[in-house]
Amino acid sequence: MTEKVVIIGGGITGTAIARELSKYDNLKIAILEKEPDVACGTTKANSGIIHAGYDDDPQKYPVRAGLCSKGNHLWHDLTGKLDIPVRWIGSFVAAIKDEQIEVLEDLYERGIKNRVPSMKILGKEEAGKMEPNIPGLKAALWAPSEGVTSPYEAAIALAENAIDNGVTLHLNTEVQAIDLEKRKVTTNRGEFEADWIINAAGLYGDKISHMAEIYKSNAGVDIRIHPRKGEYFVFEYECGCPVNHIIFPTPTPASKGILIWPDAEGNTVIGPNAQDLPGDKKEDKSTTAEGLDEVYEKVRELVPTLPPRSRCIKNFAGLRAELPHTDFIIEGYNAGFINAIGIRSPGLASAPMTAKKVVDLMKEQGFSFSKKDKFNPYRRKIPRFNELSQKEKERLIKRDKRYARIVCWCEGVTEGEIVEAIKRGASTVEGVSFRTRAGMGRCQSGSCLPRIISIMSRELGIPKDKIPLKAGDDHLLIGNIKALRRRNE
Amino acid sequence: MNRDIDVAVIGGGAAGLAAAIKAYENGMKVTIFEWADELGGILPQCVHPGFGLEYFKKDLTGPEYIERFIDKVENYGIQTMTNSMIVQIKENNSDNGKKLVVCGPDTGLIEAKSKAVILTTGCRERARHNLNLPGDRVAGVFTAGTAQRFMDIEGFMPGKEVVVLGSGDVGMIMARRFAQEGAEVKGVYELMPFPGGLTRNVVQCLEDYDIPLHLSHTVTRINGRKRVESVTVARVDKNFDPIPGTKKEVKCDTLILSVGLIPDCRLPKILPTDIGIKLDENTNGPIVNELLETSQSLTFAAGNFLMVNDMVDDVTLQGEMAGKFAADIIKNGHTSVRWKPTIPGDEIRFVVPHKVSGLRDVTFYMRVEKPMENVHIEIPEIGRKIFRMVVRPPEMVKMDLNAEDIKKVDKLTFKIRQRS
Amino acid sequence: MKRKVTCIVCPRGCRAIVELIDGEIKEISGLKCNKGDDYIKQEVTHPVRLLFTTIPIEGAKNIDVLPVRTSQPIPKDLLDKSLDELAKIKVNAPVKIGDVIIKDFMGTGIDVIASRSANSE
Repeated sequence: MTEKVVIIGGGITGTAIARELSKYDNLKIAILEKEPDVACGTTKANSGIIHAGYDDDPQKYPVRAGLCSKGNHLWHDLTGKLDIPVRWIGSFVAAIKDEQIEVLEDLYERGIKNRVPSMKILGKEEAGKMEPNIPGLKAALWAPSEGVTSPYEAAIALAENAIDNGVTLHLNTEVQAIDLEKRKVTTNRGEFEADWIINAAGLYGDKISHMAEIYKSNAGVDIRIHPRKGEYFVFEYECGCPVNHIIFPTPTPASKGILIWPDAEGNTVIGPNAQDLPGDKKEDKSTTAEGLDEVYEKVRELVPTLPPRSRCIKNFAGLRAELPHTDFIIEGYNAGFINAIGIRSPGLASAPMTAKKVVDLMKEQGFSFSKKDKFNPYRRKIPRFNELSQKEKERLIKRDKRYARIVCWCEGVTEGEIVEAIKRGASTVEGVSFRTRAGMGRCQSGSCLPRIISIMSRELGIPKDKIPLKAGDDHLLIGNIKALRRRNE
Repeated sequence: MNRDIDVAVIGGGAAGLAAAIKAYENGMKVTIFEWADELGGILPQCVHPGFGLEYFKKDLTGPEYIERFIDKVENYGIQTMTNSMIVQIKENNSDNGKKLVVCGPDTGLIEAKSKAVILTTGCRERARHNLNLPGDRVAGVFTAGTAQRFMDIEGFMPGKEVVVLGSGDVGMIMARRFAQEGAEVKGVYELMPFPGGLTRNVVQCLEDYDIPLHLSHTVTRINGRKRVESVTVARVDKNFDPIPGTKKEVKCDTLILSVGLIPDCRLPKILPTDIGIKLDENTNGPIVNELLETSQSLTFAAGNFLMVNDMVDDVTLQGEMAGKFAADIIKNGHTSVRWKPTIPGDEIRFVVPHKVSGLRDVTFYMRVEKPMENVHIEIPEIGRKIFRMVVRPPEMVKMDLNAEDIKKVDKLTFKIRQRS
Repeated sequence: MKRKVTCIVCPRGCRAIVELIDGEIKEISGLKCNKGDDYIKQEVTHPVRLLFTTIPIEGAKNIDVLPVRTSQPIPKDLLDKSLDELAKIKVNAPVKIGDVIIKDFMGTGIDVIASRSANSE
């Protein structure tokens, strides 16, 4: 008998759970996502780092610690299967004072407990060879298993593969009520029957949990989420990156610190700081002068050859969902309701393991899993014309000559890729950007934005002034050029 | 398509068309490669007058100016590829030429050979994040050029209640365009204590339309939920830091940024250094000699890619020079020369060209760092000077020197001195 | 009565003060040279501007609006009304640069002409 699963939230956690469940028979799975695309919440605005797992004290944060290094391990295989851009560049925790070396040793021990592979404490000389641009580097904890990916591309890939394996994705669908007894979820687009409800609603995880009348975790933690804001700089690709690995300062009890790393594309990224906001400020994704100053100055202390601020091509702020005890809550309750909430760092690294944990929780609640015969674990990304060999480019152009028209010259993205992104579900300019990188270069979409809108208008059959930047009603263009003058009649 | 050419012109705007025409007139086989779907570069969207006052002795609109060159290219039958980009340039050492890979929907991906390359790819606009402008991530923040494209090529209004940051010519011109189409332009905010563009534009763009100009001001925050709802502005001190207590919120739905242009060679994921071009950090454009040849042999630069110009007439002249000199060198080879460097003195941001020989007369282009009146610009090594009643950073200063004068010296320092 | 006018003939941008009596210019002060005299006089007595805008065009290659201009400058005080008028019309491709779009615009005796050619799609 087929059971209906509703996953609330199309971020990295929700899409990972969907893909995992789609491996099994007798499940009809739906993702309900309130935004026009997946990955629109925390998932699109974070560092994209797949943490190694030495950060989380298994005593204090057993859930996080239990998932991170295992998830990291699963990502090594998954990024290949799902064709997700990733760089396994490893991380350095840098000690610039003698007393910090002790902290490195503590982290090392913690890493061992959490089964982080191949770590090493490097002395001054060896560390300096690997990272010549950190003056004052005395020692470093080296963890080669740490990597960096594009977090929204990861969620998009998981979603595409899940859909390929039978999951349905419902966008612009906001959950308004949950009735566990009647086994249904009410949304702005109608009702969904649900034998299983999995809450992966990110910042709004508490709101959804309360709809199911679950106000405390099984261990008695208040289910109350407040956002923690972190701000970032992304610099022009053309600057290069002064560091070769993901660089952490030695952490203090208060924070992991502000990092610098080359992202999956090779751009230098720095951030995040940490600012706790009240629980009702879940939509405050603004960057602040003070926050940006703090991020830049702190990193410059560690790496003085940081690119100049004027060569920043993106500032953004991401909000992480923090529960009072700052660990994840991944557990089941009666009547098929499962929470997978409070997912802050290392949520991305943990995601594939979080998904397996949800499977375990469903098993505990009596669902009998049987593997599908026909599960397709592979997904291919939209071809990146600029990265292909000449022969591959020629083949692609033969297939569709729109791949020969370069629309975004900063990143070398072609019309063919943009059309494919729209075919795969992008309905906003940002959705096209996320799937193709068009608009993410040094001109910050100044040249390609009108072209992207023209292509979207043509492909979606809607007027250009109805194409949104990010959200359905953001009115990127307000109307015809004569609309205001004509009002005078 | 003819794949074995003498001169590849990359960028079919004002500089590129002028270069192509001149090279053709000097007997070269030329191809123009243009990224957009038509020739003209930025000119087709500059629908206001002020173009050609020097070159044609007429006051033309942008489209009128450039159509004269487009017509000439068509009449000459110069090979043109639109919707096309060069995706690779390699020096062909055995051949003494360049191997190009071109990408476009009409031809697909093809190889071509060219003896010389002229880069006339123009500029990109400085945008929000170059300023680290904090605030909300909202729709309604546009650079002036992008807003101009939406309005005057695509026919859409980007907004109806507008604040403009930057009083350069493009910013003032767009302030006027918005006002002309019925938008409410709340003000133009300028960081400097002086306007960033021509006085003509302050009068005909801002005063004519009652648009207030706020000097020594900046935007400190963008506010809104999904679309811009207001911006926070503040007065700045002489270090350009916001003065506490002067912050004000200005209600608007659009922020137009006109905060600078940066020369850009626009080759996808190819840096100028990858193709042997050294840049001048003061212009952000290539270092060139008086032939407008870059540090890469037979690669030339002209127009806004060489340096940000104010007048399209100068862009045309630079394009013509590059086209002519490319043809000369292809026909006659390089002359062995001892290059003399040009050095910008204090208060002069840059001098182009960067190297001269003494074999020919040269027009020098420079910009001053701050506005000054009653000044001499002089080259002490030569002893030549010119008088200017007024010099301002937004207005390029040009100075001509004879070959004989240049021949006499080893270097040329350009100094600016207040006349007593 | 006194009026302030900025001279635009050279980059200096002198602020002239023009004294008028019964609508006639009595004195101009504040100019550092006399190159701007004619411009200032015109600006005060009979200010004119070149009008330009873009209007919707149908069936054209590459553009959806056509740039147009008045063939000569027209009285400055007609600008606002002119733009309302020009908001009402549209044209079809093909168009040749210089084509008259509106003859004798607003009774000025001056035409509105196309600022570029536009081929059909």
